[in-house]
Amino acid sequence: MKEKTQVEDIDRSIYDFRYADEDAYKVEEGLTEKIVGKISDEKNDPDWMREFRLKSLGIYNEIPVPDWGPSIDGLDMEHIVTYVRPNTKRMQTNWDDVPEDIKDTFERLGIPEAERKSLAGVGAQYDSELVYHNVRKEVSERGVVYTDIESALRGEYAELIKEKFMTLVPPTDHKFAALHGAVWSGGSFVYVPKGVHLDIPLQSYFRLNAKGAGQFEHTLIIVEDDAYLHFIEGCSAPKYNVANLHAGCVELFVGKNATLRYSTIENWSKNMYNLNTKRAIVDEGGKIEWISGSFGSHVSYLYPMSVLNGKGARSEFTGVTFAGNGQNLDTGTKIVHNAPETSSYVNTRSISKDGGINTFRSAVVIGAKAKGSKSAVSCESLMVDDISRSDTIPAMDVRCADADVGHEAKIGRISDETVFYLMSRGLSEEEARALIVRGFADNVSKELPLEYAVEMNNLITLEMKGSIG
Amino acid sequence: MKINTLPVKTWNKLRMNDCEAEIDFDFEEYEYKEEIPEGVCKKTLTVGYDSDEVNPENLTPEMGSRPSFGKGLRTGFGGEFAGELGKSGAPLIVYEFGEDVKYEKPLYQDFTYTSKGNFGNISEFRVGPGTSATVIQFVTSKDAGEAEIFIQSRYRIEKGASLTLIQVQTLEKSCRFYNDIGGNVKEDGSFKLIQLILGGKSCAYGAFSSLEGARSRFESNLAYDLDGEDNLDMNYVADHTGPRSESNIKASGVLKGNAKKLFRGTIDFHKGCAASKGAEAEDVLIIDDSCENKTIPLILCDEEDVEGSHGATIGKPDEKQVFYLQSRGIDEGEVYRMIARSKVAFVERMIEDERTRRRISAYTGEDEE
Repeated sequence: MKEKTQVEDIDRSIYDFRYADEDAYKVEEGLTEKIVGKISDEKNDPDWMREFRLKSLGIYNEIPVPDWGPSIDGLDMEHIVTYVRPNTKRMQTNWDDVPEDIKDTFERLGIPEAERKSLAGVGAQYDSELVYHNVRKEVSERGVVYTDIESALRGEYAELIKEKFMTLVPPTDHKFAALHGAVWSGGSFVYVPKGVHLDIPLQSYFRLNAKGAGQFEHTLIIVEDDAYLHFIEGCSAPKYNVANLHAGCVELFVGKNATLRYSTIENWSKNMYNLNTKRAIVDEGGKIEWISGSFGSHVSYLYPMSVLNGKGARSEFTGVTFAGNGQNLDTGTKIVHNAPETSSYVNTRSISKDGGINTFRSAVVIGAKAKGSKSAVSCESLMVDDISRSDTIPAMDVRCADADVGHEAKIGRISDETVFYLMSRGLSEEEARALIVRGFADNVSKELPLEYAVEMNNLITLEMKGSIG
Repeated sequence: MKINTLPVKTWNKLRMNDCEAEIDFDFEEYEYKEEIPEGVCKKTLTVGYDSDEVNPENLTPEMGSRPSFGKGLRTGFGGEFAGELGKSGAPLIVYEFGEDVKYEKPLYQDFTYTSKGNFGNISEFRVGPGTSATVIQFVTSKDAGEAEIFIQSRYRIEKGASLTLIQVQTLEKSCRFYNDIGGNVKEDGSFKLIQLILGGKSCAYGAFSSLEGARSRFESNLAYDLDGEDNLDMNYVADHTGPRSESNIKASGVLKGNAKKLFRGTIDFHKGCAASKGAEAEDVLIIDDSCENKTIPLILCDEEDVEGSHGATIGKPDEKQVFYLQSRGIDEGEVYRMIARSKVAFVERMIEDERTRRRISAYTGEDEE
């Protein structure tokens, strides 16, 4: 069995393997009230959630597909299975109790190893359900809650979830937020109490195994005042010749003077439509740090959004997107400055290769109340060959005199002189180009924990293979 | 109809993708003043039939449905607008500059409106190979009330030719103004656009430059001074298809009162425009909290071997700059006025024509004497 070894192994087969899903329970393909009702039955939803799902379905049916961004014509909701429960009855907290094939999947992805070495807690989602969730005892003793969202919906935090669920990203926000509201399943709930500083990260890993299925996990994180959390999200799937869909939703609530770092290495297979929505609201003096590496998917619409709602709130977005053959990745960020003296900083890099299409899209809105606010956006794009494409579409809307907004963008290619220099030092042309691209993307890799930075660099090396000629 | 359409759409909620406009192509009679340099030939055609073979007097209804806008000319207002205009049958005034001539005197067009009405003018400047020419358009009004004014300026710049188009607009704050520009530049040709926007209540400016030829160039310098309820909507596109083509778009301005402004700027590198360069920069000073400033600078890139960049600076004046000027005994209000003035002055300085400079000074109350 091939296993992930963090450093040496850069074979895509690490991610591109699959198991038969004949033991799993699935709803039928398509999207109807009956199917949404079945999901509610399956999950034993409280009444309010049952109504919420049906209302969201109604909204989904009314909202048109976006008339901007990459084409999603290849996504036929009539052929997407919105709920697949793996062959396990409930979420496990003991790794040994997880069914063998699922356990094998996550072991090959290196999740248990990472848990032992460098994480405070882990959640593992397989298709539509969390199959494993665990948090270190010393972390839970400090009052940190890290569990699957369905359990939280029926437990001590039920009222809190009801109060917050899809308030930051309402189903009316866009068509796929409405879809998420109707068929969401799985995901994590994290609660970090006031003043608790978690030194080591929590991680959720999402694996979509079933062919032609969708994954709609919901992540809800509340970081109370003066607390700190680093949350890592990873995702992958085997490649099929039919479309798969990911329309997750992440809602983050950052308290006064709290900090939340949300890191993602997205490596969905290249038949995936990744229509994910992430949003954070930040209170006075708080900070949201988005670290985002996008490598996978056939089509992506991904724009983590920060709403800076308290005086002095801050947002940092650091991202890299690598679009290769057959990929059309539309990524970026949105920031709304809604309070005085807020600040935002955006630093992104896009790499287009082998016919891949990259679009950096952003919006910075400085509202009338955001006196003394500052925003700086920097995006750089690298064209690796002459058959790829890279677009930059940054928007700024400033409605306040006392604001300072800066923007800069550059587009270019790998310099022949630099390649020549590296080759004169003994590197092959392919190695030289991969090295340059890894350096270009170091804005993200240097922000990640070492193990994840290594994984990201491996992904780049893998994507750069065959880049010559 | 939609004008100033962004070449690639973004989130509709931002309301930046286009501008809704009502333009009536049934224009009233209006005689503008002009001075044509010796050797420039003037003729009148019909929009949509801008071929010499078509005699506008012999147009038939069938020909009237022809949706042609000309021989591939595109303008900043975009395709939907072009289709409507192409069907309008409006007159097209063509100015033909000769071959290998350096015109010392500019071609003047003086559009001074003195009554309320719906006015339109469509001019096309054809600049022959190796020729260099300047066109100055001064657009102003007196007692024109809520006049609706449409001016379109097209250009065809042949191999090795250059055209400088200077536009100064000092309309009354009751007028609505639509200003549309577009054309193509052949090998080694260049188009330089200088625009000063000092008046008008609601204005839309569009400019599209098709850099078809190798080493063709487009340079745009634009400055505006908006106040009160002014509204300015802009769309500037540098469309690179020729190799080693270059573009540089600069916009600078001041917003006061309840003024609203939207600037769209696009550098579009198409496949085949190898070794091309494009740059755009915007510098906006916002004086009052009730202003609205929107900016969307695009770089679209379908070619590997290019260099594209854009930068924007929006907001209040640099604190160090303000402090320095105050430390020299200038009060804060005057400092802000000076900085605001500098945002517009960089374009004024590019205008060398004495007559035009005097008219600008007369308008701004800064007579050079």
